[in-house]
Amino acid sequence: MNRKSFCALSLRSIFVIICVICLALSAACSTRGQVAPPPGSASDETPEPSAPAAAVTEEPVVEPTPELSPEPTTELPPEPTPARAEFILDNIVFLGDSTTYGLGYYDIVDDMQVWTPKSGTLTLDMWNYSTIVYPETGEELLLTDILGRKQPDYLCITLGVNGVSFMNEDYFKQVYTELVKAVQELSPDTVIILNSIYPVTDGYEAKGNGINNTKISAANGWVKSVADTCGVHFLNSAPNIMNASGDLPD
Amino acid sequence: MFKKSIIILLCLASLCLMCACGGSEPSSTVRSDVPASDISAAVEAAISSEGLIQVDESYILGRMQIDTAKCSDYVVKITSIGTAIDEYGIFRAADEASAKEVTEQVKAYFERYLASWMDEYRPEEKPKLQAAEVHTEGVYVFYTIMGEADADAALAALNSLIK
Repeated sequence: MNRKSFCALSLRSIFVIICVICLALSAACSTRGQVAPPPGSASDETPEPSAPAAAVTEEPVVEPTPELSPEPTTELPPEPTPARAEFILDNIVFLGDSTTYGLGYYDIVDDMQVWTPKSGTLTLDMWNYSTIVYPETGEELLLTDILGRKQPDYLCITLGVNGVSFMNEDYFKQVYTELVKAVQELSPDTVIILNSIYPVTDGYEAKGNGINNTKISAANGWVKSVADTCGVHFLNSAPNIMNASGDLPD
Repeated sequence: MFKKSIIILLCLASLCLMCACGGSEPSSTVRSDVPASDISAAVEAAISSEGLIQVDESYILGRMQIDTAKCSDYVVKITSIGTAIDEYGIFRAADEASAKEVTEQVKAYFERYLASWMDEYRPEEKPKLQAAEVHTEGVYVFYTIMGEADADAALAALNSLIK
């Protein structure tokens, strides 16, 4: 396999995505208090000084700001700070396809935080059939088995791009809902974030494998619908990395 | 001369009849009472594919778009190993007409699978998909997406049970 080719996103794009995820989570913490820190964490005990969410990073701030849907539960609002954002980032496990695989491959996050199959990609409707590398041991296990061993504080799921070419709305929502409900059942304290599917480049669309931004945009509406139905977050990060045409910049 | 012509014509007719008899066996010689699970067990004993997991009905309806209502029973297994694409399926249709419909649905599944194939992942596995086979024997529809040797062994296992 050409390992460099697994990801349609550039290194910079992935970095920006991580930044916006942290920003969104941090901002959400300050306004809604829905992302609860793990029990016994330092941020529970020592409130960080207040700072505007927009100032938490020196990385280029992209517009528009990603929207994180509110969580049904409410807790005391922790303050958004760089330390808070970093703490959250360090405690997120990323489950997904090649775009998630790239987070570890490009050392954006620690490999221990990345759950993807050995192949480097995962199709949505294979979530319960395809094994995932459990980074703690290197074993290839089904997601349900991994969740029996580890329940992450936060789980950011980015799935669906490989399915848009052949999955209709009903099937997409059905499978995604089954996935979220399985996580909720096996790891009830995990804060679940359904990240939007990232756009692809204009050149990628030309490959003609059925993956294009029109379908991705529609599928992101389905992802949000699943998040609403299941009572989990929807993180609309896609607009932050697309150009005026709605494509991922080359 | 006339006699000779008659004899030649009769010989030709006999030859044609013999050739016709040597063709495919009529489907009535194929059993229809072997459960798909038994065939699945025999197939798995014969092939080298690893990590095969049985998929549920929603996968068959949603991804494969195969009408399970036309089948009395079925087993579809895919590999859980992310770096491989091995899979097979056995459908026991309600009747031979339904078997033909399921066969067409399996062929359509192959076409969609190939059309949505992403060359950047597992390119070494693509030949398995390109060589995917579907066989119809009586009420049974059997397909394989796997290496040639395994596909042959799987088909032999099927035939050993239903013929």
